[in-house]
Order: sequence, then structure tokens, then C-alpha cells
Amino acid sequence: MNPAVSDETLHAFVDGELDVAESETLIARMRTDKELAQRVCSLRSLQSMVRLAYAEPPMDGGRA
Amino acid sequence: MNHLARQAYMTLISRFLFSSFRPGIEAHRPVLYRIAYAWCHDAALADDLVQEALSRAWTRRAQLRDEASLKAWMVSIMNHCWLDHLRSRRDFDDVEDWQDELESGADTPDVCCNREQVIACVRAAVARLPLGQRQVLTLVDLEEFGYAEVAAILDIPIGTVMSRLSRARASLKMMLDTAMQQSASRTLLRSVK
Repeated sequence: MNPAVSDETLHAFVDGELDVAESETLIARMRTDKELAQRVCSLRSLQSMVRLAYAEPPMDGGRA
Repeated sequence: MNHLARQAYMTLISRFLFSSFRPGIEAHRPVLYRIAYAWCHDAALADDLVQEALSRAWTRRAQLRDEASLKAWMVSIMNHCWLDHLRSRRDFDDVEDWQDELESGADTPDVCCNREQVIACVRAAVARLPLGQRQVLTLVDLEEFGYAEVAAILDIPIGTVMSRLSRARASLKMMLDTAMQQSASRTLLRSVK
């Protein structure tokens, strides 16, 4: 049984901070480990919500 | 030549002289504004921060060593503008411990149902994060800066970038999950009635 993957490692994975070999290992594990896949999925959706929230920041209408 | 005409003429000359750099700086205005807004959630203040950062960048353009790092360099200048602004308002030592008014004053993230509500909900949650975490999260998520770049921009160790990011995402998830649950139970209540 593999040790649990830390949150930090998963963050590094979704942020593209892991090297190719580390990423591939993680991707392979996600295929069989549903819970791990779920954690990555939830991180990605959190990230896209943050992007959506600031895609169109309100402009200061009160001034020129 | 009257004063205004002279000024316009000088502007034209300087535009011509620094033509490759000035548009480079100006082109980053939308990026800087997005970041500034995500930090302070105040359109007028964000505007001021961007303006100040652009003008400081222009004055210090000689200090930029590598054109490729222009964006990161400008964000780091804006971080200093932001810190100067905060210092001018009150004493504070550490961004990490510092809880700004937004955090205590912001509404708790409310019901998230449609697109506009999700946006408002996420902004409220981000506004409630401690400043240091908010800065790291927005730089990584909105602008896809690498951890090392964020560390350089904010002048903090890379380990701090990673731990702040971890904490920021964990609290954000918790706040949003709570808001979603509230939203779900309200919908359920409504359908029961």
C-alpha cells in the first residue's frame, strides 16, 4: 500500500510544479485510487472557481 | 509653444524614445488590476495601486535586468505599493498575522447557486483569507506564477509560499463547502414548504 499523498504534493501537481516523472507516477495512481482522483478534482474545481471570480473584476465606475 | 502643447510634445518624444518599454508596462495594466482587486476587493483602491505601480515601474525601468521577467517585476513593485498603503493606515509587522478590515468586516460567503452568486461567494471567501495567504493564492491561481516566482515577488521563502497556499485552499474549500451546504438546505426547505 502506498503512503497517502500529502496536500502539498497535490497542490504542486495541479500547479504544474512537479517534474514529469513525479506527475506520471501520480497520474498512474489516480487511475486506481478513486479518493486521490477526487481530491485532485476538487482542487481543480476550487482553482477554476477562483479564476471565474476574478475573470472580470469590477471597474471603478465612480472616476474617470 | 504654450505649456500644454509643450507637454504633449515631450510626451510624444518620450513615447518615441522608450517605445519598446512603455507599451510593455502599459500592457500589464489589466493583469495588475485583476491582482490588485483580488487583494483589496476595492475598485478605487485597486486603480490607485495599479497607477502607482505603473509609475514606479516607469521611474525604475533601469533596474529591470531581464525583459522576460517584466510581469513578475511589476507585480513585485505593486506588492510594495500595497504594503506601503497598509503601513500608512496603521502599524503592522507581518502580513501573515495581519488581519485587515476586509477579513473581519466581509460578509460570510452566502448562498452559491448561479454564476453571479458563485462569483460573489468566492470573492467573499477570498476576502476573508489572511492577507499573506490571499496574495499567494491569487498569484498562483489567477496568473499561474510558479512557486519560485511567487517567492521572489513577495520576497518570502518558497516553503512559506507552499504552506500559505495549502492553508488558503483548505480554508477556501471549507468556507465554500459550508456555503454550498447552506444553499442546498435552503433549497430543500423551500421545496418542502
